[in-house]
Amino acid sequence: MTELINRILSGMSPTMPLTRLLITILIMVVSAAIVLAVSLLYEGFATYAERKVAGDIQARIGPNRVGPYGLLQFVADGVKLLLKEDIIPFYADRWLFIIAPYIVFTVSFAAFVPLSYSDHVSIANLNVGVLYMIAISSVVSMAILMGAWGSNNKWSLFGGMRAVAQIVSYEIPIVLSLLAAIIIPASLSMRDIIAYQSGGLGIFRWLVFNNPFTLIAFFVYFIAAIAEVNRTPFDIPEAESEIVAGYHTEYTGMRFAFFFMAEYGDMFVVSAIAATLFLGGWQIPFIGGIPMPVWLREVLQVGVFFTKVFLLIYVMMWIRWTLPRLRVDQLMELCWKYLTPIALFNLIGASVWVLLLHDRGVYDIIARVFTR
Amino acid sequence: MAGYFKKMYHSISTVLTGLGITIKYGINPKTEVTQQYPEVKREPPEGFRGKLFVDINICTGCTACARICPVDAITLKTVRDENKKLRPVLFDIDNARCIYCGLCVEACPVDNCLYFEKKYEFSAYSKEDLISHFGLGEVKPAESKTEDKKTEAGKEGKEAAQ
Amino acid sequence: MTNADEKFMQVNMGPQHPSTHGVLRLLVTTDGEVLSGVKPYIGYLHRALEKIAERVTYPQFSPFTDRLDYLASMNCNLAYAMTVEKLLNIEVPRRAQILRVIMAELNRISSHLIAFGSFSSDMGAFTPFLFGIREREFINDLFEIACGARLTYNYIRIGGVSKDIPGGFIEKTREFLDYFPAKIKEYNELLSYNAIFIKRLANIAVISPDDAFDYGITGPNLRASGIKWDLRREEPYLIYNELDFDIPVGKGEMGKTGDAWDRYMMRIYEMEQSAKIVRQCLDLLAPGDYTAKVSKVLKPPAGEVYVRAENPRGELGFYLISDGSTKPYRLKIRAPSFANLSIIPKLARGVMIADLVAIIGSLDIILPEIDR
Repeated sequence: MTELINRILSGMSPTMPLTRLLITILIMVVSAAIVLAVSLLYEGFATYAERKVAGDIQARIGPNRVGPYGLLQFVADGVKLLLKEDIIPFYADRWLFIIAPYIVFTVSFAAFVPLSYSDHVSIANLNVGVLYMIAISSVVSMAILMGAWGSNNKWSLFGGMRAVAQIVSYEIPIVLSLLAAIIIPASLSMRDIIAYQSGGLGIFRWLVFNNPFTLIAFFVYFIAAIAEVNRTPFDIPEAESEIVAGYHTEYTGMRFAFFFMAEYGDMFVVSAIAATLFLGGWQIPFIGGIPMPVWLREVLQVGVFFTKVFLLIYVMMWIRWTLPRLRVDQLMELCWKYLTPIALFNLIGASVWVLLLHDRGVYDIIARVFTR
Repeated sequence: MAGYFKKMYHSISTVLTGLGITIKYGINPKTEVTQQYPEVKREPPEGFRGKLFVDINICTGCTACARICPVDAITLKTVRDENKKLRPVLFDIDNARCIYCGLCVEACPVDNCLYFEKKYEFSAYSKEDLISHFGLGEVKPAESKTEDKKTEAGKEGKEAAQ
Repeated sequence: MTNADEKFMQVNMGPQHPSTHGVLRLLVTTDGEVLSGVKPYIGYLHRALEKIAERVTYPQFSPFTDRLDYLASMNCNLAYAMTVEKLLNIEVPRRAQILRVIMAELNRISSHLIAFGSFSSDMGAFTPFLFGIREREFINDLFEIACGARLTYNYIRIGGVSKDIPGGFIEKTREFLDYFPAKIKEYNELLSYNAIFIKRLANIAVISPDDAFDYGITGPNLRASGIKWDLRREEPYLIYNELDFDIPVGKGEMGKTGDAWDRYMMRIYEMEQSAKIVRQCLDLLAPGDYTAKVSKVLKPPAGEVYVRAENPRGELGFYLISDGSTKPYRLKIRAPSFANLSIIPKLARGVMIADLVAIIGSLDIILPEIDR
């Protein structure tokens, strides 16, 4: 987006600083609005997809009343939530209670920013993109605790405490496993990381296939990411059968919807990180090498990226509707006794690999053997 | 250490087994068992205990059903008509009270008088609407007939006797 | 409140809580996630059934027994019918006895399916719940063919059954029995032997045989503790002594004998055995009377009688005192869930909130029976 702003501004005379500023702001607002609209649309369809996937798995049909195949179900849900009474508990900490859902939603929305959707489509190509993602996603835990504490409900408090403990713990395997992948392209920029994974028919140079350690890192990351977004089997912060609804027990109407949408936003974000770092992001498999017009390539790249993300989201849903829930201590055990040590040793292994073979992956080595 | 990896293997393999089962359902639309209720209605089997129905014309007014009903859902009031036969002027079944136990149907001595219909959709907006009225209502009981008529009937009876 | 108490938090779990299986209220004292005490409060579903029994005639009370354990109405009907029959010395025809066994065992399967399903949803896996419901529908359809009702059957009456089974019932039942074992295998693969599920339940809330005796635990919960006690074997009623079936006993396959997993698994094993019993009964079924000759007005001689039967949840006993009139003088119901519930405060000490849910679910209590 910076490039876009620069390109537009370069065509203008530098003597109008105010206009330049206004145009910059305008472009920012418009792009933010586009992202918001797209993410809201995605979140709507994600809720629909969740219910439909659940229906499929449970030998049911799922929503099919509103619109064709029930596709407009999320609109109906949204209208319902908007029309609901907005209840703020009398003894709630009003300020925290009101602000918490907005923070949760803003954070999940902000995480869409550094993602690279295609070669040229991205909101901001941050050179610290991955770091930014990790940092911003940890803000969620604070907001959840705010909402939980502000509700002044004991079940909410349980949920909030569980959420914070869980999210903070699972940051560690996430970061460690991401690191095992990042050290190969040696960049934190989403775009650079994806650009690095070009070639090899658009598949074999994915970082997940780079070496055995990145493969393990991918699975460690994915498991930890499911925990990070509080989904079954790690949904203890909102475990329905134990603590009613966890941190959003007292929330109704649109405030609840914000929590709900943020959950799906987070799902997209963690899946997008996985797709970017491990699955080649927008690299078009097989036909990527064929010359084609730029616009077609961009469209294909966006399509490929979203397909990968949605596949990962489907897997998350699939896991959710299959497995029972872990207990709090077992969740911590999984994190500290299994994922963290594995991620740590894995990181060491990946580092040694990089030290010995530089950034050459398994595919590169095989390709070299064959070309020789 | 071996136990550590064994545990991990056990967890992963059982989780994958579970995922294998759910994906079978997930990708196969034929496994759906849902009935699209308002569009597709299943036909209740013979002997279905739905809404109670009374064929009031053959009701003998014996009140067996009202007496056996454990929840007093049946209100029955009978009078003797001109033929000295018991007639149910009031036969109300409160469907909101009825527990569909079937005791009344079995107690009824007349065939096909009191029976369950295969009807299961009879929701209403008020409780009063849930009461089904079967009573004959308009049957004038012998006692309440005017004095003249009664005497006439009596005379006729006497004449017939003579 | 003293200083020592301030360490603890008191939370009301129920009467409106997703996993208390109805309207059970548990006053939970917690120190964070760990429980320090649980106090069950019951009576939210009290309908004075025992008092009602004193003002209705003997046959009239039969529909009320449907409302005791509504998931196993047939079994409740059966126990009550046997009580009055014993008082009146009625000999039940053989066909009626076989039909009773078929119905009771089918109802045992359907009740255990709900126990399995609701327990799995307590544990966070919602899909097995719907699978359980799906198979239960099949049984409900069978009952609907037989007696016209799907939940409150009132089929087993004093003297026999309310009507003979219509044509097609036997074929449909056989169809179900052929279809069912594959489903049990599916449940086991999906849930019973799932590592997370085992980890949640193994060694949790162990009931020792002594405790089980002390608290009067019966049914699958007692057998899970390793005690082979089943009224169908110990005090055979109906035609159970002619039938070949095993009584599954907890062996501590995944941990200690009598833990939550054993209790859960008893139900799966019992479903298999019940299916076996139904199959044998279908072969034994010969033409005959479906009910004994019972006068319309029952006037049992003065006296008292106690009859118990093996319900899906344990021993259901009716203690009936007759004063020679058409109405019982006193009817005391010995509800299995009531005794099973009484052990919760003992089990739920020093465990976590998530375990409390597992305890309630594994004991498989049902509130209408407790509150009566």
